[in-house]
Amino acid sequence: MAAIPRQSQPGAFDASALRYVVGGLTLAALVELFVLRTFTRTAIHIPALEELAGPYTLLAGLGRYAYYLSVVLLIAALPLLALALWRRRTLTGVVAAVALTAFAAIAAAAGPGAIPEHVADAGTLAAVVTLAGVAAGHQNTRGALVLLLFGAAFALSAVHTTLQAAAQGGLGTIDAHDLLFASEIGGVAFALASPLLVPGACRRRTALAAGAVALVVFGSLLGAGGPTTRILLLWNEGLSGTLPSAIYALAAGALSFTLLHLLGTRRFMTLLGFLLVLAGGVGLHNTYQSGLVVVGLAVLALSGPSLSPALAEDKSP
Amino acid sequence: MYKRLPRVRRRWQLGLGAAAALLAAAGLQFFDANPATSQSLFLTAYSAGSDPGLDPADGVWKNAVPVQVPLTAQAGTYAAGGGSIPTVSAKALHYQGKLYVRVEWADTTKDESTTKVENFSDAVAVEFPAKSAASVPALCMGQADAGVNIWQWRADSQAGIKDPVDVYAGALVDMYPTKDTLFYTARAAGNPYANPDQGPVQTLVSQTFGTLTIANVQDVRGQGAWNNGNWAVVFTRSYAGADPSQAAFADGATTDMAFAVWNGSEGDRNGRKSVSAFVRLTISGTDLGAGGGDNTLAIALAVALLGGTVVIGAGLAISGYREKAAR
Repeated sequence: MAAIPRQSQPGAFDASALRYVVGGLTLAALVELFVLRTFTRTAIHIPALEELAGPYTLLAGLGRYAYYLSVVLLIAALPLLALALWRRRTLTGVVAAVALTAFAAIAAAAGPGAIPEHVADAGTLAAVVTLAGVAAGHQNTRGALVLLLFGAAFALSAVHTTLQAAAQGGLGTIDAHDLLFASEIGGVAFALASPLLVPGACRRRTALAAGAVALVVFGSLLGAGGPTTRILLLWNEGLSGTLPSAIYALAAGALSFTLLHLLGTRRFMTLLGFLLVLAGGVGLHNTYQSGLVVVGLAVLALSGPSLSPALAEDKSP
Repeated sequence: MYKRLPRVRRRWQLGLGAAAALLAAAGLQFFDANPATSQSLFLTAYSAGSDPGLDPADGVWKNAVPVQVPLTAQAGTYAAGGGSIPTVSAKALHYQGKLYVRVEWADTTKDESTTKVENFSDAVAVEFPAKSAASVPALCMGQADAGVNIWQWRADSQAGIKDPVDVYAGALVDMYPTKDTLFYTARAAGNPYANPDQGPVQTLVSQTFGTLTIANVQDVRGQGAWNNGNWAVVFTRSYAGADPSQAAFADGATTDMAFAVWNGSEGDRNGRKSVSAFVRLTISGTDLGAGGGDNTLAIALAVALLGGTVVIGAGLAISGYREKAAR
């Protein structure tokens, strides 16, 4: 994690708490993603799994605990991020703070069914698009393109889900399944374009090597038929895996390169924001995953080049 | 020394904050209190005014609202293939304590004969958590404490067992001296697909990968029809499950439901298929509306959502860019 800034003056916004909460949330969300959403869903295919019941139960329990810890930290991160964005005292900062607050209210109201499902879906979509727009506006032009591609992919998938929910609620039905294919293309384009977030990309040999390894590994998994990989793509990331395998392999390579490059250049807050967006995935799954996306985009909005000094780390134009 | 006090206090604060978060998470896990809510696709089964029956073309289905469920390739530890059917459209109704599920999907080939060993049948299945499931089961055949109940319809079972001479032109078959089951080896061995009385739907139960078996009671009925490159299949069963390993339904209840489709001409069989994630199925006490095809509100919502997202996203990005330039 980035060095914690010293507190400047009494009453000043304490960014260190936000850094710790976002760092902890990212760590917990990644454990939840890899253990609960990925391992336990694939481990059932292990022959004679019952003989490993002890370790399996322990690991599954750890995954569930990581999930609940993520939820707690997510709830803590929302007001902290809203406050940090509000304190920027700019139009986009205020709008983003309102979007975060609105999402928190929607997620709280959706649980007991206080609002119709399509209203909750549309509200979440609006929050994500708002934060993607704000985050894009505070990146350089190439970084903005990456975040807008993610926002577009999320929006296309979420519009499909919202229309389906609205139809079930009696608002009429239209055939919108083409939106899913458009979302698939947008999601893959976002991953392929992600190296644009990192300037001077090709000079990082480690990141390049990691990207190449991910490309080969993911390509091998998909190239061999890759049904498990594809269904995990649908479950975890909201992508149905209908495009040629090579495209997903390239996308995995590009994402790995971007993550390693962000790590290598010590752009930790951007890295955390990016990881949270990836952990949330494309489209509407549940308020937890939507929350990860919302928080990730808010962190990216705060960690861009034009930021409040609290979280600013990127000096690129 | 005095300068160190704020730093020490900050460490205490961070430590207390971390401890509070860890304890809160433990509390949520202990009480199984999940604050998150599903935002995935859902399907509502409204109360039908008349018995929908088994005909997928019955008029009552026209007013039922479908949900389009994306599919992907089957999960497996080896290359199982599948994935040739991208989406299914599902509807649900209930009538006098019976649940009806109608599944429709595009398939240009009608594959309903499996007499040749190289031919495979079109099929569709819906999966529900078993009545006894303690939690949402694993999609792939359930888990030890949460089994699944699967209803599978097969086109070849509906079409009936074909005589080899009908499939292989010019083939000669010796006359069977008896109709006794003993001489039909697959039927004698209990293979349900060799039983002409089985019907097109099998109900199966499973409690983890490798434990799939036919249920003791076969009480699910179903019928499919292929028209203009589309299959439509209706399943129906009474709310009450025959035993705890089967699904149970009730008015006002919500459960999970997943879909699987086999495309015979693509070589789909067994684990080689297209599958969905779970969607929620709510059995509503509300009567099915009159319908009528007025989609003005839906179209307006679609335009508002798509247009709104473009305006909001692009507008804020430009606004933020200007703020950055002004600094």
